[in-house]
Amino acid sequence: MSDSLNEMLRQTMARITSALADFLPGLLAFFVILLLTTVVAFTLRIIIRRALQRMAFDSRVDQWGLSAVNEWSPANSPTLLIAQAAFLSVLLVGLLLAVSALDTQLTSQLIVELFNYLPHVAAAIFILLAGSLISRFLARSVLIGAVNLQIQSAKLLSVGVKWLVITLAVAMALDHLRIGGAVVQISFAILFGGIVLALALAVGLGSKEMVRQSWERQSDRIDREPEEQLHHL
Amino acid sequence: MPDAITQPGNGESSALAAAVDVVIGVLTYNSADYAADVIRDAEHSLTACFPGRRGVIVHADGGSKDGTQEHAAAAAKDKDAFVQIAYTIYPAQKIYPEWIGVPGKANGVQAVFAAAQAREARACIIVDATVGRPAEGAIANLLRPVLEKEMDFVAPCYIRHKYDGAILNGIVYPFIRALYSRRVHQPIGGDYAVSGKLLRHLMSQVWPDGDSTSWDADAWAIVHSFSGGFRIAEAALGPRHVRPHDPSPETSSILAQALGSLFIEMNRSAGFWQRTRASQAVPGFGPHFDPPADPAPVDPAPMAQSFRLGYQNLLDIYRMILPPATLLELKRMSLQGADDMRFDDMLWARVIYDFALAWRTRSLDRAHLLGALTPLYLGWAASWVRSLRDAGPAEVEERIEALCSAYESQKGYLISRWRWPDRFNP
Repeated sequence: MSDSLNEMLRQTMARITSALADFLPGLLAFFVILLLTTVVAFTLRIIIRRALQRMAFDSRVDQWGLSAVNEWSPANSPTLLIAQAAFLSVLLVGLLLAVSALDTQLTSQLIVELFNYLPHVAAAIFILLAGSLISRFLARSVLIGAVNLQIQSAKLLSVGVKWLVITLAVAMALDHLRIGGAVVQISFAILFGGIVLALALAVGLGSKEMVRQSWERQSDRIDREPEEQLHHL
Repeated sequence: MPDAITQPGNGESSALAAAVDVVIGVLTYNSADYAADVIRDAEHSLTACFPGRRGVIVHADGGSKDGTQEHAAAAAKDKDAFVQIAYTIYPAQKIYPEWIGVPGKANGVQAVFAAAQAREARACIIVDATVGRPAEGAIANLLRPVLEKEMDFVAPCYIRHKYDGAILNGIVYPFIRALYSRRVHQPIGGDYAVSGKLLRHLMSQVWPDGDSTSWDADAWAIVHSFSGGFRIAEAALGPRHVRPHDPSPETSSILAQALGSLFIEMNRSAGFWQRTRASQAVPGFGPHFDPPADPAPVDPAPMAQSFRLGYQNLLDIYRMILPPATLLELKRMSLQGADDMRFDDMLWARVIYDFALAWRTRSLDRAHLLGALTPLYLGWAASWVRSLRDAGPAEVEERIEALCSAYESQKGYLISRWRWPDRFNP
C-alpha cells in the first residue's frame, strides 16, 4: 500500500519537475525579452524626445496649425506624446514576443487573435483622431460664422456640431472594434437623431428673429440695418 | 463677338501691336451694364485729353456670359485702337458669390501688362469695371502724372463721405502707411496707372496666384512699387459710381479679403518694411473736389452689440491671438454701452498687428483668424462712427491722421513680435 502511494507521489513529482523543467526556460525567456524590450523602449523614448526637442517640434506643430494636438498630449507637449506612444508600442510588441516565448497553444492563439485585431484598433484610433480634429475645426467654423451672422445661440450651435461629429466618430470606431454590434448602431441612430432635433430646435428658436428680418428685407418692408449704412469698402 | 477676342500670346494684328504711348486696360467679368460706358469713357479720355498721343484700349474679359464682350466691342468707335483679350478665371472664383472686384484679376492685369509691354507703352492704366464706372475725367487724371510728371504708380483718391470706406480708413490706409512709409490714401482702390518702367519691373516679378483676390493683385502691384523705389503719386478723381454688388457681401467676407491681401504682401515684403522709417506724403495731382454732403447718421448700437456677442463667444480664440493686456481692454469695452464705448487707436493698431502675426505664425486656421476679427472690427467701427458723429471734413482728416500715427507708433511692437514671436506666448 505504502509502496504504491510512494510510487504515485514519485511519479507526480517527476511529472511536476518535468513540467517545470519544460516551463522554466520559457518563463526565463519571457522575463529576459520583457527586460530587453523595456530597456529598448526606454532608450527609444529618450532618443525620440531629445531629437524632437532639438528640432523644436512643439513649436512646429503650432506653426503647422495642429495646436489641437497639444490638448491630447501629456503636459501639452506633442513631443512627449510621440515619445510615449513609441515607448508603449515597443513595450506592447515586447510583451507579445515574451508571451509567445512561453510557447503554449493558448498564448499562440491569443497572439494570432491580437495581431488580427490590431488593424481594427489602428483604424479606430485613426478615426477617433480624425474625428476629434474635424469636430474642432467644424465647431470653430460654425462658431465664427454664427457670431458673424449675429446668431445669439452661436456657442450652442458650435457645441452641437462638435458633439455630432464626435458621436459619429465614436460610433464608427466602435463598429471597427466590433464592440456593441447592433446596440451601438441603434444607440447612435437615436443619439444622432436627438442631436439633430435639438439643433433644429436651437436654430429655429435662436434665429427666428433673423429669419423674419431676412424675409422682411426681401420684400422691402424695412430699411437696411443701421450698420449697413456704414460702407465698409 | 468672340471671334474678335485675341488670346494672349496667340499673336495680334501688326497694326494693333505697333508701339503706343498709352494702354488703357479695362477688366470685366459679367459687366455688360458698365462695359460699354467704361469703353466710351476710355475712348473719350484718349481722344479729348491726349490728342497727340497714340493709345489703345485693351479690353480683358474673363469669359463673361452676359454679352459684356459684345457690348464693349460695339461701344468702341475706333476699332484700330481697340483689342479684346481673354484671361483665365478659375471655376471656384466664378461660383463664389462674395468675390469683390474682378475675379482672377492678377491674370487679367498680367494679360493687359503683356499687351502694353508688347506695344512699348509709356503708360498703362487698369480700370476695374466690375467695381464701378470711373468718374468723368478719372482715366485722364490717373494717366496725366505718369505721362507729364514722370510718376511710376498713380493710385486713385476718390472723394468719399466720412462713413464711407471704414475698412480702408481704419485698416488698409494706416496699415500700409505704417509699414511702407508712404501716405497713399486708397492704396488698393481697384484702378491705377503705371509707367512703362514700372510695368517692365512688374512683369519680371513673380505674380500672385491666379486664384488670388482682386485686392491681392492691387496690393501686390503697389507694394512692388514701394519696394522697388518707384515714384508714387495719387490723383484726385472725385466721387465714384460704385456698382451695386448682388448679393451684397458680408462684412466678414470683405474684411477677410482685404486683410488677407495685406497680410500676404506683409509676409512677402518683410525684409523691406522692417527697414522703413517715418512716413512721407506722396505728390497729389488732379482737380480739387468739394467734400460730399454729410451722410445720414449711423447708429453704432448694433455694431457695439455685435462686438459684445463676438467677445463673449470667441474669447477662447482671442486668447490664442491677443496678449492679456489687450484682452483686458476688450473686456472693459464689452461692459460699456454703445454710446460710451471707445476703441483706443493704439489698442486697435496692436489688435491688427497681433492678427497679422497670428496669420504669419498660423496660430490657427487663417480663414478662422480673419473671420474672428469681424466682431472686433465692428466694435472699432462703432467707436469710429461715434467719434465722427459731429465731425466736419477737417476733423475727419484729423481723426484719420491720429489713427495713422497710432499705427506708426506701434510699428516697433510689430517688428519686435515679428522677429521674436516665441518671446510672447498669449
